[in-house]
Amino acid sequence: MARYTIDEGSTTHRRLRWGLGSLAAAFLVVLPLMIPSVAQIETITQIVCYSVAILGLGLLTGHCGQISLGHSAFVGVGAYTTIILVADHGWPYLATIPVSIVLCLVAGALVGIPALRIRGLYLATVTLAVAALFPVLINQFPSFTGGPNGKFAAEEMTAPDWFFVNPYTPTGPPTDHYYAILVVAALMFLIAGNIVRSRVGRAMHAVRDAPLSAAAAGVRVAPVKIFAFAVSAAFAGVAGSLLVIQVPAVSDARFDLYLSIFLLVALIAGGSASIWGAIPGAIVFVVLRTYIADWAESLDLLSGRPDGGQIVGIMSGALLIAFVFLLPGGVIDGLARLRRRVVEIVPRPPRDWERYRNATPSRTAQPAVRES
Amino acid sequence: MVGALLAAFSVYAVIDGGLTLYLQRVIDGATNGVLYGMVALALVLVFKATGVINFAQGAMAMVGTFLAFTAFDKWGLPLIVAIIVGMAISAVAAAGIERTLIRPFDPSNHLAITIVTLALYLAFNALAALLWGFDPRGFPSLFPTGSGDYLSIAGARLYYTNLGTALFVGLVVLVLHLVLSRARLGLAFRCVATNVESSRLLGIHIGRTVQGSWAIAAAVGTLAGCLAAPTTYLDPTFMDKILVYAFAAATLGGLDSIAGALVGGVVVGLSIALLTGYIPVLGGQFALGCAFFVIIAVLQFKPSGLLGRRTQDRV
Repeated sequence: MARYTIDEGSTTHRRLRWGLGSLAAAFLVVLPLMIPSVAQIETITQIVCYSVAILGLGLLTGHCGQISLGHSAFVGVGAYTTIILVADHGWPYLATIPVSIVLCLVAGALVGIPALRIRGLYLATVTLAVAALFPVLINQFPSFTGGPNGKFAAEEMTAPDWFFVNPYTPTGPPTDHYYAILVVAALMFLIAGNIVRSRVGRAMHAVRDAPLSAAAAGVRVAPVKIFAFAVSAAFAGVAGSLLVIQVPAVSDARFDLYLSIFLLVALIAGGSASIWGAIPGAIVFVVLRTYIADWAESLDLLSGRPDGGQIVGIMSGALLIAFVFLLPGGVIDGLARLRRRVVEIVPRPPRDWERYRNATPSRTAQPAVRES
Repeated sequence: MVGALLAAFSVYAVIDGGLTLYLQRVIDGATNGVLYGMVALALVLVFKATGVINFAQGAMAMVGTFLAFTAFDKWGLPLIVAIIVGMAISAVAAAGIERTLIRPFDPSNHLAITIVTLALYLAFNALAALLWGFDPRGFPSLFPTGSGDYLSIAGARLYYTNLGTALFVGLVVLVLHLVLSRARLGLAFRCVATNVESSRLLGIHIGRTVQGSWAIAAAVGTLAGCLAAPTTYLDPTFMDKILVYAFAAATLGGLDSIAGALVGGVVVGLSIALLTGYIPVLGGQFALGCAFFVIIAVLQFKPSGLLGRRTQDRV
C-alpha cells in the first residue's frame, strides 16, 4: 500500500503539482545549457519534435481507439508546407506553423471522412494507402517539392537579438532552435490536455470504450472520429514543421510507412492512454532510430554488407509485442504504478454526491421529474 | 449508374486507343486483379474468423514465397513441390503465431491484436531482409512463359501465364468455397464468425478454429505470392504494394465475403489498368492513388462493400 495518501484538489496536491511542474519546466530550460555537445542538443530537440507527433497519434489511438498508419504523410505535409513557404516564398519559420495546422486539419478530415461509413478498425486500411501514396505524390510534382532530390532552405531560423542565448557560440544556433521548438511543443501539450478533458474528449473516450453505447447515449460517433482524426493530423503536421525548423531540409524517403509504424511503436511503448506518454515514447523512438541503429550497424552481422536497420526492425517488433503483452499502458503506466507505491492520490468525489446519496427513493412508481 | 459510367469509359477508351489496346489493358488488369483478390481472400479468411485485419498477411506471404524459392533453388525440388512446401511451412508457422501471440488476448480486444500484427509486419520484413537481402531475384513461373505462348484475342495477347494464374486462383477459390460450405470445418468457421458465444456453447473449439483460419490464410497468401513473384521479381518489399491493393479489394468486396474479395480484386486491377492507362496525368506511379480513390468512392455509396453483409449490433 501507498505510504502517503493525498486528496486530489487539496492544497498539498496542488502544491505538489505546481512544484513538480515548475521543476520539470526548469529542467527543460536549463538542459541545453548544461550540454556542451551539439549532437546531443540535436538529439534532445528531435525528441521534442517527435513527441508532438506521438502526442497527436495518441489522441487518435489512445483516446479515440482508432489506428492510423497515415501519420507519416501528415508529418510530411507539415514539413513540406514549412519548407516550401520558407524557401520559395520567404516566410519566417514560425509563421508557417498555422498554415501546416490548417492544411493537416483539412487533409486529416478528408482521410477521416470514410469513418462516416466504416466501423471498427477498418479505417486503418485506408490510412495505409495514404502512407503509401505520400512519397509518390511528392515525386509527382518535382517542381514544387523538389521530388526525389529533396528540398532545402538556404537560411536556418535565427533568433532575435534580445534572445538570451548567444548564437555566435558553437552550440548557440541549435539551442535557439531547441527553445523555439520547446515552446511550440509545450503549447501543443497544453492544447491536447484541454481537448482530452473537454466535452469532445469525453465523447472520444466513449467512442473508444463502447462505440455502440456511445451512439445510443447520443454521441455522434462519426463526427467525433473525424474530429479526432483531423486534430491528430494537425498535431502531426506541427511536428513536421518543427522538424524542418530544427534542420531545414526534407526528402520524400523520410516520410514512408515505416515512420508511421515506428510512431505507433513509440506510442505503445510510451503509453497511449496518457498525454504524458508521448515523452517516453519519443525517447524510445529516437533512441531506437539513432543509438540502437548505430549499435546494430557496428555489430556487423552481415559481414560488411549494410544491414539497413533490419536489427532495429526486429527489435521494434519484439518491443511492441512485449509491451502489448506485459505493460499495455506503456512506460508511463509503469511509472504511475511505481508512484502509487509511495503516494496514493485519492480522486475527488463528484460534486454534490452527498445530496444524491441521501436522496430518498421516490414513493411513487413514476420516474422523478427534474425540477427546473 | 456505375455500369453506365463504365460503358461510357469503355467507348471512350476504344475510340481513343483502339480495340486491341483496350482488350490488352483489360486482360492485364484482370490478371493482376485476380492476384490482388487472392491476397484479399487471405485477409477475409482471418477477418471472418476474428474480426481483425492482419497487417502482417503480406509479409507472411513474402516470407513463404522466399521459403518456396529456397526450396526450389537450394534444395532442387520441382517448382510445384517447392511451392507446396512453402505453403505448408507458412501454414504451420501461422498456426504457431496464432497460438502464441494472438490467442492470449481477449478476442474482442481488436486494437491489441491489430498492433501485434503490425509488430509481426515489422519483424517479418526485417527478418527477410536480413536473411535474403534486398537484391531482386527472378522467380520461375509455373506456366510456359515464352514470347510465343499466348492466345490471340482480337489482336490482344492473353499469355498462358495469365490464363494459368487465373485458372489456378479460380480452382483455389472453388476448393475453399466447397470446404467452407460443405465440410465440418467450414461449418465451424461460419459458426465462429457468426457468434463466438453460441459456438462455444455448441462445443466448438474457438481457438483451434481461429488457428485453422490463420493457417489456411497463410497458405493462400503464400500461393498468391508465388504466383505474383514471376512478374514482380522477389524481394522483401514485393508484397507491400500488392497488400495495399488487396486491402482495397477486400474493402470493396465487403471484408466478409470470399467471392467479394475476388470480385473486388478484379475491379481494383481493372480500374488501375484502365485509369492509369487512359488518363495520362495519373501516370504509372499513381496506381496507389487510384486504389485509394476506389476505396473511398465505394465506401461513400455502398459502405458494406459490393457483396458484404450489412450487420447490426446490439447495445
